[in-house]
Parts: sequence; structure tokens; C-alpha cells
Amino acid sequence: MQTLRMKPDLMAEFLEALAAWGRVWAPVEREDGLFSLAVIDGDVTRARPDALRTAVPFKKLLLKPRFTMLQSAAGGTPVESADNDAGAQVLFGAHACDIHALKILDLLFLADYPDPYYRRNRERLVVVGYGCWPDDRCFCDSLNTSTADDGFDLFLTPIEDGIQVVVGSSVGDDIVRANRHLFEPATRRDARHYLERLSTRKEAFKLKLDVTALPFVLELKKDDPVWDELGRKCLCCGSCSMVCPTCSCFNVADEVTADSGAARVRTWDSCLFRDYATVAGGHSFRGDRGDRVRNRYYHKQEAFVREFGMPSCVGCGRCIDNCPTGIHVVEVFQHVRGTG
Amino acid sequence: MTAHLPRGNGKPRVGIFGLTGCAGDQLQILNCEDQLLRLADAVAIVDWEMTTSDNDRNCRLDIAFVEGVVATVHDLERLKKIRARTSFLVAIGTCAVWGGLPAMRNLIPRDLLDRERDAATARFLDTAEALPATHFVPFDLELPGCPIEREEFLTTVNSLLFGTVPELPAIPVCLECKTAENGCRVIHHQEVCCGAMTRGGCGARCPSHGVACAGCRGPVEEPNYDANITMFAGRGISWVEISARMKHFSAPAWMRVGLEGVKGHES
Ligand code: SF4
Ligand code: SF4
Ligand code: SF4
Ligand code: SF4
Repeated sequence: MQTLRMKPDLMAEFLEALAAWGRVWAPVEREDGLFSLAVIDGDVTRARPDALRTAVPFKKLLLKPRFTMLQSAAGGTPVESADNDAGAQVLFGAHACDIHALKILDLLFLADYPDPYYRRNRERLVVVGYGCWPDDRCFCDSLNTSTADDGFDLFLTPIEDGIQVVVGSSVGDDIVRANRHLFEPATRRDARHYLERLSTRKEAFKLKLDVTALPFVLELKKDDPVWDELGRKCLCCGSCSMVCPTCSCFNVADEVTADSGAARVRTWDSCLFRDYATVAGGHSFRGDRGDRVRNRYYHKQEAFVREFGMPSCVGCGRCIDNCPTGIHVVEVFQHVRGTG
Repeated sequence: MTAHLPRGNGKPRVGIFGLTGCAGDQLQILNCEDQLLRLADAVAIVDWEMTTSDNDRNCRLDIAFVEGVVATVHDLERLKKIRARTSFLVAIGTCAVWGGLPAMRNLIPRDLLDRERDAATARFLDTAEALPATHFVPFDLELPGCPIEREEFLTTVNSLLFGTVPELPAIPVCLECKTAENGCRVIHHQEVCCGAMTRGGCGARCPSHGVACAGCRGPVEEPNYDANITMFAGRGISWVEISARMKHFSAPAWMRVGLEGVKGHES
């Protein structure tokens, strides 16, 4: 690991230089105060690294919300489709929680049965992190995901009169070497500013989730009336899953196309939908809304912990931002524990 | 599920019918321009009043598409006859599937309608409460939409020709809306958006154009009306506005579905 500094006014030039490593995605303002990851090639001034959250996270760069896996023309033999192959991409502006979420997706999609669609895009993804400042919906600090020591190629953090640049991989090193004129050695003063930022940032977290023994608490509260209550309130719209950086469920279906060809299509899915747990014959294993809501929270904080030793929620606050009916993940767990 | 089309020597015989409705779904079929020629080649459209007066009104049909609500005694007679002569019957459009806009009128008492009718000019109509075609006879497939999606129609016909029944999307509009990365009409604009109650497949067309979902594709399997109403009211939207917006397609025919305590469809 190597630490450098960059002058803030060189940001645009830096973003332009990134294009040599792939299509550059960065947060851009889509509507007033609403951000979305978009390709900024051609106009790097659109990049808004200061954006706290994009509604849909980086996972769309790896697996599109809907893509064709196989396709055939009318009467033809099915062939592999390159629909999801994005080629080389640079993700600019990943926050620490995103980087932890990326590691979780890697566990899911690369560990036991590597997913070729994910892998092809993952291998060509360059990750450039950016230091953020929490609002009242961030609780990553409670989940140990508020900083990242690895999992990125470069990580930029705004400090007093400069940007600290941490090199986290050989690709990051290549980027630095190819653009030497943009970087300077970091100074002691920079290190001091960075550490100060770190401790004031830690103080800035207002939302906290107590995860002490949470899987056990959940185990004990499987039949708690809170799940029925939530089932009555939840619209089962699936928005929380769509925006969650670690929700990764998908559906695969064979379709006949409008021009009489055929396609095998893979789409994002959510355990909140009744259809999700419906099997042949029409039986649904989670026919009850309360069961489905519970499943989402148990998958994040119980099942995943049992399987991988850590929760699959990184505390990004996206589901809080995007639930139309105001279901709040931290309040849910406080409520279950009996402390809120 | 497979569709068993009796395939004799000829092409499958197809009929397309409109009961009481705006004919918008039939127009959608006509709008399939490029694909329509190919379709006309693959099937024999033997009974389609909208396009020709030279129809075979009695032959057996392998596939029939029915649009509209039953709002007259005559509609019901026609529907029963269509069912009787058809192997695979498809409801097209939200009117046929759920009652759609015509069913909105069911909230007005019939004696009031009779009184309001201008007796001097209106001739006697054999009208009844407007109810979806699916209420009266069994259908083999239901394509929602006001109007139907052209893609979905073509996919359906092609699937049936292959001997399979297409799996139509059961996800709510919100899924497509979120992946299109629209600002939510409820959260950011405090509007009555029916997206969470409504079946997707339209690509969240309305919210993607900055308009709240009107619910035109009919309800998802288990719409949570209560929670939606509570949510809108909690955001300070008036009851009048909530009811006006939800009534468009939350017509009585399907308002019974999804109210807490009432499980499953009314058929
Ligand atoms: S559950 Fe909510 S807070 Fe946790 S990672 Fe997913 S979207 Fe973020
Ligand atoms: S919470 Fe539900 S949608 Fe998300 S990954 Fe888990 S099972 Fe899938
Ligand atoms: S976003 Fe809210 S209402 Fe929608 S499924 Fe998630 S918890 Fe339920
Ligand atoms: S705008 Fe409507 S369809 Fe889109 S997420 Fe919000 S409620 Fe759902």
C-alpha cells in the first residue's frame, strides 16, 4: 500500500485519465438531490463524488437488472449472449460500505460456484473509492464497514487542501505510474489531517445498530408479533431489495420473443415477492407477507452470519431512503430486540 | 403449462373479439405492423369484426382473444358462444381481466343512472353492471394492460404457436421503476402512486415519464391496499385524492382482492 496526495483541481484530469482503464461510471445528479451511477465519458464534470448514495448501487455494473443469457433466432440453436458483458469498467466514487458490499457479492458469486456472468465483469472492474461523510441514515460504523483497508484499486479521501490517494492494488499502481504528474508524495501534515478526519467522522455517526448477539436474538424472536405487524405495513414492493448493494437474488426464465426467437433471461428478484417462493403446483413457501418481510431481515442478520460469519447488511441506508412506507431497518431490529 | 392447440392440416384458427370497451387492445394488435404480416402468415385470422366483415362466425377456434367488459346481456351471450367454440381463450386488456375503467361506474347506483338517462333521446339499452369477461367464463390466459403491451401480445401468440404458455411478469411496477432509477412519486413527490399494488411488465412507463402509476395493469397477486392507503394518508394526501386515484383501476371488480382478511381471488 502506498499513500500519495493529489491537488483538488486535478480531479477532472484524473477522471479523464481513468478512461484508459475502461468506461468510467460515477455518481451524477439525475433529479434534484437524486443520484445515479452513469457513464461520464465525454463529460467528466458531471461526476459528483460528494454524492452520498446512488439509489441503485454498483451491482448493476456487474449484473444488469435484466439480461439475456442465451438466445436463438426463430427455429435456430441457442447461443451464448454477450448481453451482460460490459467489458472494462471503472467504478469511481465507491464508498467504504460499497467496497464491503462488493466483497460480499464476491463471496456469493465467486466462492462456491463461480457465476460466469458476474465473473466476466468483475475481473475487468477497476474500483476507485471515495471518502464520504455520513448522514442520519448511515450506520456502517456499527457494522465495521465504515472504512476499507482493501478491496479497491485506488481510494481517494478529501483532506484539507488536497485529496489523499491510497494505492490498493497493482492496477491502482499502474494508474498512478501512468499519470505521475497528477500525484505528489503525501506529507506528515496530510497524515495528521486524515487521522483527524477519521475521528471526527466516527463522531458524526448518529444512527447506530446494536449487533451484539443479533443472530441469537433473531432466533429467539422468530414468532414475534413484530413480523406480522411489519407484514401489515410492508407493500412488498421490493424496492429495498433492488437498492440493496448485497441483495443478489435473481430469476431465470425462458421466453419466446416477439420475433419468434427464444431467450433465456435473468432478472433481479426479491424475496418480498409472493412469486419468489412459489413452486410448481402453485404452493408458496412464504405465502404470508409477514414471513417474507422476516426473511429479508433474517437473511441479512441471521442466515448470512451463520453461513459466512458476518452480516450481509453493510449499513448503507439505501433501503431506508427508498422504502415508500417508511420501514426502517435499524428501527426494525431495535423493535425486535425490545429496545426501540 | 402447455397449450394443446389442435393442429390439423391448416394453420391454427384465430378469432379476435371486443365486448364493451374502447377497442384499444385490438388497435394495439393492429399496431404490431411489421410482425402482423408474419403473424397473418402463421395463423388464420378467421373472425375479426374490426378488420373485415367477411368472418366465419361459427367455426371452431384454436385461439381467441377477448377484449372488454360484459356490460350488456348481448355481451354475455357473445362471450359464452366464443368460449364454447374456442380451445384456448385469452383475455386481453384490463377491462376483460379486471373490469378496468367501465367498472368504475359500478359505484354509481343503477337507479340513479336510469333517472339521469335522457329518456327522450336514449333508446333502451340492455345494460348491466360492468364486470370483467373473466368473471363469467373460464379463460386460459389473461394479458393485462390498458392497453395491452404489443411485445407481450406477440410473445403470447408465438409461445402458443410453439405449444407453450408464456410466463407473464408477476412482479410489481416498483421493481421496474427502481431499476429504471426513477425518483419515487410517493417519496419524492408525495403523490398517490399505484406502483406497489400493480403488476409490472410495462417497464414502469408512467413513473419513467414523471407520472404516478395509475394501476392500469391491474393488481399484483397480493396487493396490500390497506398499507398503501395508510401510507398515502400518512403523507398528508386527502382521502378524496387517494380514492380518486385508486378508483381508476381499483374498480370494484378487484377492490375485493387484497383487502385484509379476504384471501385469494373472487372468480
Ligand atoms: S439492508 Fe439496507 S442498509 Fe443494509 S446494505 Fe441493504 S440497503 Fe444497505
Ligand atoms: S434479502 Fe431477500 S432478496 Fe435480498 S439477497 Fe436475501 S433473499 Fe435475496
Ligand atoms: S421497500 Fe418497504 S414497502 Fe417495499 S418491500 Fe421493502 S420494506 Fe416493504
Ligand atoms: S414511483 Fe411508484 S412505481 Fe415507482 S417506486 Fe415509487 S411507488 Fe413504486
